[in-house]
Amino acid sequence: MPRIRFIESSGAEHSVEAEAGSNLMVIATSALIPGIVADCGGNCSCATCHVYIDDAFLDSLSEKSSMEGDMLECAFDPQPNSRLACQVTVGEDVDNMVIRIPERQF
Amino acid sequence: MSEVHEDFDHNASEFRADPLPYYKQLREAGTGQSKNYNGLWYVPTYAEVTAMAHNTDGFSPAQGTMFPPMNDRPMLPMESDPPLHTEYRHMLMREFAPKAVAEWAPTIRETARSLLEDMFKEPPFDLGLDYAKLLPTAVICKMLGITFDPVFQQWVEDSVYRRISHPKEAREATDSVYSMFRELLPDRRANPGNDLVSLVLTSEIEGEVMDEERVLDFCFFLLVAGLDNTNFTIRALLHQMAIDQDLQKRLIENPDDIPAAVEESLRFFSPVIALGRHATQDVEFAGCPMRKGDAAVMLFGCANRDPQEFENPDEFDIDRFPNRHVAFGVGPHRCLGSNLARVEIAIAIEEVLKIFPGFKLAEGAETRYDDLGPLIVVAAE
Repeated sequence: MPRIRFIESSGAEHSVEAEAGSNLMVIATSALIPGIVADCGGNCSCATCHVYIDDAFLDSLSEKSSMEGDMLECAFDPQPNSRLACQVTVGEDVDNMVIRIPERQF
Repeated sequence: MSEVHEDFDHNASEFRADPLPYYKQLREAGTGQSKNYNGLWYVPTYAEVTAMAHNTDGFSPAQGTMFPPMNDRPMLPMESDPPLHTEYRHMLMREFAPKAVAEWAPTIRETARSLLEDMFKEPPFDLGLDYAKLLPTAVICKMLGITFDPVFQQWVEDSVYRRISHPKEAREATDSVYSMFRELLPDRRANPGNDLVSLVLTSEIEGEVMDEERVLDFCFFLLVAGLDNTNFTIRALLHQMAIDQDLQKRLIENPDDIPAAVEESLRFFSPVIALGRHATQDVEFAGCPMRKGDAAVMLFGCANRDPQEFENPDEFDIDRFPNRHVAFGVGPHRCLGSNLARVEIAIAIEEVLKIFPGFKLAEGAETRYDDLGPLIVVAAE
């Protein structure tokens, strides 16, 4: 199983085993990763599961919809490597992917 | 069918006055049907509430979410289905998203301070009635681009809370809100500004601007949706801090803990007790045979005290983690204004603590429930 490394803005790191094909928000919330609030529970409608993805892995993830792009503009400090975790499906080739968590979600 | 469901009525005053024993029994029995409101189903557990809220194909809010209904018009965007609902949310989300709400924070703080200053001018005063109640109204009026008037608050309370005990007055109050907006629209249409009314007036849905009646439905719900719920949560948290001086001391010394206290208040006091759906087809839900068109109510307050999800659920604990409460609902219809509410509650508390550190309940202050509204009265010393 691929391992994903979640790094909080404080630098605290959490390494989580993730099943290929699963949803990044579900992985994070199931592992109780602090800082990924995911208020709406995975509907691309609250912008509180904002994360920064390791550039090396950006292209390997499911594509960003226009709705997700619009929601990301509503989040704090969006960057080119920003995604909403609820819209990301994890593939098999993401071992050691680093996910950085923003300082705040709301 | 369990007995507890059969006679249950989420609007009954005995339940409102002391909901916890009902909640326990309802959760233990799981989803069940009442004989009230034409066989309303009650959905009590955390797992069942989240399952229903996420199942937008099987359960729709478009035929109404309140039992009995507030009026015969849809509360938008909540009472609509995708894909229309998605367009509605898309229109409004920028204004209520985390970043947009943060930009309103200085205005909210300024409003809170000015309300506190006004309150001081006319002692004796009441933090609930003279402050908590007015802050959300003053803020949403600014967002809507309308002049603040305390009568709006009265209209909202009458519309929502007196719809059973005083249906005629409630109806008149609702009509007053609609009339107020109806009179304002021609000018706003001619001179659109940077406000929510202008946004709704000028936005295209399904490729065209909306007709006036639909615009009014949005205006009504944008005004009423967050007023009493936010007010109630501010009051409830103030009350909690008055009766728990250790909590108050901690929040004075560590203002960074205020957001966690706000979240716990939302879970613990759950201002929105219940919202409903209608089954879109015959379905078995939580082992219950629901028929197409059956109405079901998700008991958010009950789910928020579910020991399956929250350890020691009846303890007020701001260190709770995770605290994935459903006070704002969950899923695609989750409260659009939740970020605004959080910021308003937090700022309201911060400003009181700056002026009144160590505040207590006034001598003889009472806690009471007024009609359907969980209106706790808090008096400051």
